[in-house]
Amino acid sequence: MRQSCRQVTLLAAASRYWSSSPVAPPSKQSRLLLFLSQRFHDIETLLSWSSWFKNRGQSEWFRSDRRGKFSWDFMNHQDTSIEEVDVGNTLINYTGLENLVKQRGLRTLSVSGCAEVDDWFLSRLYMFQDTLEELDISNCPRISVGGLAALQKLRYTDQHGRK
Amino acid sequence: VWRRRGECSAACNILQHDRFGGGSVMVWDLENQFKAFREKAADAMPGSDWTPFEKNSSLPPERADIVIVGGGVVGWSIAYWLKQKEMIRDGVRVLVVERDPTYSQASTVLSAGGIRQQFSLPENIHLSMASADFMRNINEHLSVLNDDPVDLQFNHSGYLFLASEKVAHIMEENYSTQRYAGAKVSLLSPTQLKEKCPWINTDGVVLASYGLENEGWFDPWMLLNAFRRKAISMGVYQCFGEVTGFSYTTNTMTTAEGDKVDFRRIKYANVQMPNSLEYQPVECAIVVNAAGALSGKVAEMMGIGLGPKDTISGIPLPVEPRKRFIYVVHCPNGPGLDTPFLVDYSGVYFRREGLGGNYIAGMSPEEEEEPETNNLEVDHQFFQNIWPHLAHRVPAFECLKVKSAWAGFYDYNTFDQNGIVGMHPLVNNMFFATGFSGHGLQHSPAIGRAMAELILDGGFKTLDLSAFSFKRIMTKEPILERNIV
Repeated sequence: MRQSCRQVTLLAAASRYWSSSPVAPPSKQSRLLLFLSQRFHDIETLLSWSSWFKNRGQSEWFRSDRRGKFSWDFMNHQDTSIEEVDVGNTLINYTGLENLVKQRGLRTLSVSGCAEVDDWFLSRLYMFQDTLEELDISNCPRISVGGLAALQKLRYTDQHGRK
Repeated sequence: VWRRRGECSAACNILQHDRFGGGSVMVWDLENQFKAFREKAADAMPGSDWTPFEKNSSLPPERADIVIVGGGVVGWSIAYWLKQKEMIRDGVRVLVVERDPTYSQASTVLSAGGIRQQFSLPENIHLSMASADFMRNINEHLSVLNDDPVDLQFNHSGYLFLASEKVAHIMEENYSTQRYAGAKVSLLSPTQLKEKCPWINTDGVVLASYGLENEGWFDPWMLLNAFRRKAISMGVYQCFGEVTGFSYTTNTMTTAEGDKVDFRRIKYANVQMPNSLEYQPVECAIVVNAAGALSGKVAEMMGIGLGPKDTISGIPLPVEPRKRFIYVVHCPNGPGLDTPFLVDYSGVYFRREGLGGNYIAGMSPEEEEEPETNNLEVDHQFFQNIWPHLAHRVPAFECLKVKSAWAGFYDYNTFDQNGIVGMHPLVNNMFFATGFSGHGLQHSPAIGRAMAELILDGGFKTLDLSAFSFKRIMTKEPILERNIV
C-alpha cells in the first residue's frame, strides 16, 4: 500500500510537471490524460488509472496496467481523435465533462457504475449529439426520468442502461 | 428572574443525583452557572427578546433587522442568501412574513415551473444561467444535516420556441444575444425541426429555437421548501401574518427649484395575525417587498403612488396581479418522453406532465381579455381559444380531454414586464424584488443573491441588475423583454 502511494504521488507529480511544460501542439490524448489525472479531485488517482480509451484506426485500449502504471505510448499518436471512452466506476461528474468537450469524434461512452453521474451530466451530452453511437449508463444511481428526457438530443444513439 | 434561579438549581440537582445518588450536599456545576449568568446578562441588555409578560408565540419578534414581506420563493431565496452572506453568526436577524400558511394562492406553487435561457435581455439570460447553476449544485447550497437531500425533479427537456415569418428576425437577434451571453441554444430550420420532432406540424413555422442545456422544468414546491428549510436552519424567523401597515418617519427636503420632497424611513412594520385583531409592530431597519402579485398593495401602505400626480411620490409601483390559467389535458397518442416545453408564436404553450400521457397547456390572453383577479376561479371557456392552436401545431392533440385546470397570478409589471429590483428613491429602506411577470421562480436563486449583495454589500457584485431599478419607472424608460410567455 505504501509503495503504491508513492507511485501515486510520483505519477501525479509527473503529470503536473508535464502540464506546466509547453507541449506543442497539445494533442487531444495527452490533454485527456493530464486532465484525467489532475482534475478528478478525490481522485483517487488510482481510480482514474482504471479508465480506458481507444483511438480511431487502432483497436487497442490505452489503460493502466496491473501495477497502476500508465504507459505513455499514446503520445505517439498525436492528432487522432478519440473514439471510445470508458470512464466506468470513476467519480466523473458534470465538471469533468469539460475535458471531453473537444472530442468531436467520440462514438462510445461508458459511465457505468459512476456514482456522481446525474441528470445534469446527461443533459450535457448533447455536445456529442452527431457522433455518439453507444452510451452505457448502467448502475448510475443518481439518474432519473428528467435526465433520460435529455437524451433525446442524441440522434444516433443506442442506449444501454440499467438501474 | 425566578425562572433563571429555578434553572440553576435544577442543574445542580441533576448532577447531584448522577454522581452521589442522594445526600444533601449541594454540588455547584460552575460551567452551567456561568452559562446561565451569560444568558441572563444578554437578556438584560436592551435589544434582547426577553419580556416579563407571556406572549403569544406565533407573534413575530419585536425587533428584526430585515423584514421580508412575502414568503414565496423569491422571499425565502433572499432570506437564505442574507444568512449565507452575513459575516458573523447572527449578524442579521431576518424575519419572513407570509400571509397564507397553506400557500393556496401563492404564485410560486401554482407555476408551471419552467426555466429557460431564451430571453432577449442579457440580464435575464444571466439570471437564468446563474439560477440553473445553483439548481445543479443545489445540495451543496441547501442541504441540511441529517435531513433528506433536495430533489427538484428537474426535467432537462429544453424549451422549443417557434417563430413565424413575422417574428423570425427577432428570434435571430435573440439567438445571437443568447449565444453571446453564454447560453446553449440552437436554431432549427423547419426540416430539422420535423426530423427532431416528427409529431409537429411545421406549417407556418419559419424558424425554431431550442435550448440545449439548463432548460426544462422542475417542482417549484420542492425549491420553495428547500430554501425555507435551509433558511430556518440558519436562523431566519418565520411568521404567518399579514403586513397591514408601516410606521415611518418623514424628512422633508427642498430641491434646488424649491419643491418639497418627503423622504420616508420605515420604523415599524405592523404584522397582523391571521383571523385576529392582534398585531405586532416589528421594529426593523430594512423592509424587502417580495410580496409578488400583492406588492402593489404593500407599496401603497408606504404611500408610494399616493402623492401628487407629477412627482416621484405619485408614481405607484406598477405591479398588479394577472390571472393565468393552466389546463391539464390527457392525450393517449401525444408526443412522448422527449417533448420539450413548446411555445408557439401564437402564444400557446404546453409541456409534458408525468409519464402517463398528460400535458399541461396554457396561453397568455390579450390585454383586452384579461380575466378578473379577485379570485382564482378557472374559466373553462378560455380553453376553446387554446385548443385550435394546439391541434394545429400537434395533430395528435386533436383528440384530447381536459382533465383539470388551475389558475395562478403573475406578479405582472404593467410597465415593461421585467422585474423591479432595488431600493425606492424616496423610501430609503424599502427594497423591491417583484414584478417578474411570470419568470420570478426561474430567476429566484439569482435574485436572492443579488438582493443580499445589494443589502449587505451595498451594491451588486456578481450580476449587475441596475437595469432593473425603480429609476426606469421614474424616467419612463421601459426595458422590454420581447420573449414573454
